[in-house]
Amino acid sequence: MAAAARDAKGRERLTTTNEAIQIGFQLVMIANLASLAFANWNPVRAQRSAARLYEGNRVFRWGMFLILIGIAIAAEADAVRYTASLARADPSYTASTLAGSAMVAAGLTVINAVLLSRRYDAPAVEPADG
Amino acid sequence: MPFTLLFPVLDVLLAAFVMALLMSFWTPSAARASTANMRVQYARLRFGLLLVAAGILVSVLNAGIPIERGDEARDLVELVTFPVYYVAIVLIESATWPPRRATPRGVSA
Repeated sequence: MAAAARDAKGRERLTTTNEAIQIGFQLVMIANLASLAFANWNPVRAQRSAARLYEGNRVFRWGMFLILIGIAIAAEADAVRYTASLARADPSYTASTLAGSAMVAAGLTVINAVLLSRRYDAPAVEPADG
Repeated sequence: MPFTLLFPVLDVLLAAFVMALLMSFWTPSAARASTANMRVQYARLRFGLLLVAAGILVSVLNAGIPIERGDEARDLVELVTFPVYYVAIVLIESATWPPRRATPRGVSA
């Protein structure tokens, strides 16, 4: 089992460097999720054309796929932690979970930035027919 | 580390939930059936997204637990987040499932 991380004066750190970076990725995830939750979430606009609908679905699937890879990396890291009896602060474990968090953050960013904000910014009111 | 084994199992279950969401045909087009129905589905979607954000926030705060208290304290807090994620994803899926037809009525190619 790895020794707990210590600073220059020998005091135990509350968080390791990898954990601190991971917190950054997690804050990115929270910001993206909050943006999605409070955005004018209306993919119905995208359905005005089938091409846009399919493009939106493809982007969404890519984002979900990145999130899925991130969870798979986290699962692998947790399985290794169990089999090798690693501590949570072990550098190999935190490095793997860091990679998983990065993938999840990337997936959420793809969904948030591409799906919602830019491509489907259609006017809220349709012009009247005729 | 009594809880260590639970994490890969819970991760795989979480991946299964996300896979179900990935494989579904993502369109809340069925919500267009009525404005009230659409509002309910978007409310589920927003609440589910906020639940996921809350779960991640708990993970962030978990990093502040002193190492002196050991791995078990952090594991216990982390375990709380998994049911939150499951409920959130079920809410998000309920806003999009069941899969609807590939091309919603009235759209142009």
